[in-house]
Amino acid sequence: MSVLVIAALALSACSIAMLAVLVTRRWELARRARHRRQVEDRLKQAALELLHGGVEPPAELSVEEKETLADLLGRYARTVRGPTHDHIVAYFAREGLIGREVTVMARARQPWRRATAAFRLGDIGSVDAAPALVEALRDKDRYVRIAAVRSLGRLRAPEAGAALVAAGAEGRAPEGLVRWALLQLGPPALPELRSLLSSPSDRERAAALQLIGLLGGPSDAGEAESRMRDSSSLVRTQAARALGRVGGERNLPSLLAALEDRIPAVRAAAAISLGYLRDPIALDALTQHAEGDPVFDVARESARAAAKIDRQASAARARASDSEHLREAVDLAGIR
Amino acid sequence: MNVLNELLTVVGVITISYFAILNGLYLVFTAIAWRSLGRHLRGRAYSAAEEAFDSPFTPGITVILPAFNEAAGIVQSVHSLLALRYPRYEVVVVNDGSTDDTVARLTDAFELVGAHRAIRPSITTQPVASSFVSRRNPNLWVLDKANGGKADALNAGVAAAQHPYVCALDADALIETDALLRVAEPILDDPVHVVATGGIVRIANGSTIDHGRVTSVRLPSNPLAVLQVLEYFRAFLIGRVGWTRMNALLIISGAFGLFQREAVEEVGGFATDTVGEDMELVVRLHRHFRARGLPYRIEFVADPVCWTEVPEDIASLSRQRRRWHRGLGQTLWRHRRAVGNPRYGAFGLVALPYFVLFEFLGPVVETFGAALTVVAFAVGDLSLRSFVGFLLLAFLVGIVLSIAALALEEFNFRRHPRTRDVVAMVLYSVLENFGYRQLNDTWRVVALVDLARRKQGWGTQRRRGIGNLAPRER
Repeated sequence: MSVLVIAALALSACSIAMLAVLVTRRWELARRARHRRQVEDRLKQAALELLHGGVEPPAELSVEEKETLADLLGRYARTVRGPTHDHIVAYFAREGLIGREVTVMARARQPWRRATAAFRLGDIGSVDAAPALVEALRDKDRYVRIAAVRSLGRLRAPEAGAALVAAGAEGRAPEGLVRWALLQLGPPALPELRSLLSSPSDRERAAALQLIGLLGGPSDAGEAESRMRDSSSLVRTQAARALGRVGGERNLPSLLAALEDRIPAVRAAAAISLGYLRDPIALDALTQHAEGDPVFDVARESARAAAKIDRQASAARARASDSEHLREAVDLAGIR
Repeated sequence: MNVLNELLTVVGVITISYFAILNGLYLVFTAIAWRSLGRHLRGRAYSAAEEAFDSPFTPGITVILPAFNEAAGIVQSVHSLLALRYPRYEVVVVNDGSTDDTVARLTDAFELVGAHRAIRPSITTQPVASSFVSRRNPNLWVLDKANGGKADALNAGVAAAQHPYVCALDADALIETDALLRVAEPILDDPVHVVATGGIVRIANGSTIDHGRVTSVRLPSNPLAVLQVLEYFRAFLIGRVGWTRMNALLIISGAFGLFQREAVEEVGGFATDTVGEDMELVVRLHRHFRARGLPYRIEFVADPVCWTEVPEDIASLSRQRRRWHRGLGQTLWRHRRAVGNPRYGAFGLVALPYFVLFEFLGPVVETFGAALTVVAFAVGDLSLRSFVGFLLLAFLVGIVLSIAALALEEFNFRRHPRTRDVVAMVLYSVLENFGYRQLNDTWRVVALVDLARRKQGWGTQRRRGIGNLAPRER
C-alpha cells in the first residue's frame, strides 16, 4: 500500500508541477510578447528613417533595443533592394553586427545559435559574410547548413557556386534548396557551373546542367548537347531539359534521338524540350510516342508537346487514333 | 476458493504488468516527443520554406479530394484548396458516384468544361465516366466516376495524377494555407528516401471558419468534442512523433497525407476492402520497402494542420470509433505475417506487436482488468484501501499523460489563444478518466464483435458541416 501511496503522491505532484509550469510559462510568454511589441513600436520610426534616409538611430539605445532594431532591420532587408538595402548593410557593418554574427556562427556551441547567426547573415545582406557561410556548409548540424545555403542564395555570392553544388551532391543540404540558391547567384555563377560539367560525380554534372539550362544562353547549347551522350541517365535527362531552354533548331536531331532513349525520364525530358522548341519537324515523332510509348508519363509529355506545336494536327490525329493522351493534351491546350 | 484466489493473483500480476509496460511506453514516447518537437520547431525557423515556395525545383503535388454527396461544402473546400501556398500543384476532385448535385455545384462555381483526362492503368478502379477541367483555373480537375468507396476514389485520383506526389484529403477537411508546403518539407529535404508524410489533424468544432479558413481557434462547446481535442493531442503529438523517430509510423491520417505516387502505384494503391485504408496503405508501404531492403522514410510532421469536424453525439462517435477499430483489426490481420518478424526491423518487431497488444487488444485487457479488480474486491482478495489505491493510480497516470500532451501542445504550438480554453482542457483531462475512456473501451470491444461478425461499411455520421462549426450559445 505504501508503494501505491508514494506512486499516487508522485503522480499528483507531477501533474501539479506540469500545470504550474504551463500557467507560468503562458503568463511569461504573454508578458514578453507584449514587451517586445512595445519596444518594436518605439523603434519602428527609427528603423524607417534609417531605411529611407540613412539617418542614424539614437545613440543611447540599450542592448535589448539594439537587438530588436537589428531584428526589425533584418526582416525589412528580406524585402528591399538597392540603396534602401545598402543603408541596412552599412548600419550592420558600423555596429559590428556582421563580425559578431560570423563569430557566433563559427564558435557558438549550441547549434540553434549557429543556425540563427547563419540565417541572420543572409538577411543582413553583406557579401563580406560569404566566405564564413561557405565554411558553414560543412557545419555538423543540418539546420546550420540549411541556413547557410539560404543565406548564400540571398547574398548572391558567385564564389559560393562550387561549394553549393558540392553540398547538394554530397547530401549535406537539400538539393532543391541548393539549386534555388544557385539560381539566385544568376549568370555570374555560370563559369563555376560550366567547370563542374567535367566533375566525376553524376549528381554534380546533372545539377550543373540543370542550372546552366536555366541561367545560360545559346552558347551553352553545344556543351549541353555533348552531354546527351553521357553514361548517366540523370545527366542525359538534365541535358535534354537544358536544350529546351538554351538550344535551337540545330539541336533537334539530338532531342529526337533522345526520344528513343531506353530510360523513360530521358524520353520525357526530350519530349518536354521539343515542346518548348515548337518545331513542326518533331510533331510526327512526338505523336508516335503519345500513341505508343509504353510509359504513361512519356506518352503524356509527348502528347502535350505535340499539342503545343500544332493543336489542330494533334486534334486530328487524336480523333483518328483515339489516343487518350493526345485527347487530353488537345483539350488542355484549348483551355490554356 | 484457493484456486480462485490464485487465479486472481496470476491474472492480476499479468494485468498490472501490462499496464506498467503500456504506461511506461507512453512515458517514453512523451519524452521522445518533447525532445523531437522542440528540435523540429526550432529548426523550422531555418527550414527555408519561403525559398522552397519560390523555387522551380520544388516537386509538384496532385491534391486528391474524394467526394461522395458533399454538395453542401464542396465549393468552399475547393476554394480553400485553390488558395494553398505551394508552387506547383493541381486539385483533382473525384466524385465517387454522388447522388446529390456535387458536380453541378462545382461546374457552376468553377466553370467546369468537359475535357479528356488520361488515366494510368496501374491501379484498377470503378470506371471514370467523364472528366472536367475548370476554365478559370486549369489546375482544377473533376473526375466523375461510379461509386466505389473512398479508397477507390483516391485510387482514381492517383491514377490520374500528373505530379510525382499525391496528397490524399477528406472532403470535409480544411488544410491551412501553408500546410502543403510544411508537410512536404521532409520530401524537399530528402526526396530520394521519404515516401510518405502526414500532418496533424486538429478539431475545428467551435472555431470560426471564414472562406474555408479557420480564423479563430476556440474550444468546442460540446463536451464530447472537447474530449476528442485532448485525444487528438495525445495521438498526434505523442504517439506519431515517437513512431516517426523509429521509422515505424503506422498511421498517416486519411484526412491529410502526402505520398510518393510511384510508391503508391507499386504497392497497388489504397485497399478497397477495408475501412482503414489509410493505415493499411502505410503498413503495406513499410512491408514493401523493408522486404526489398530499400532505404525509405515515412514521417509525421507536427506543424502542418488539417482541420476536421468530429462527431458531437454519442451514436456517431461510437460508429466512428468502432469503424476505426475494425480498420485496425483488418489491417493487423492482413499483415499478421509481419508481426514480430525480424525481417521488418522496428516496424515488425516493435510497432506491429505494440498495435496488436496495446491498441487492438488493449480495450479487452482494460475492461477485463477493471472487472477483475471488482471481482477481487468482492471476494475479499483485495482490501478496500488497495482497491481505491489501484483505481486512483490508474486515473492519475491517465491524468499525467493527458496533461503532458496538453503541455506539449502549449509549449510548442499554443493554437488555443484563450486562457479559459486551456483551463477547460485541464479540467477535461481529469474528467475524461471518469467515464469517457471506459466508454471508448466499450466501443472498441464492440468493434471486436463486429469484426467477428465480419461487419463492413462506414455507417453514417451526423455532421454540422465544416462551414457551420462556429461556437453555439454556451
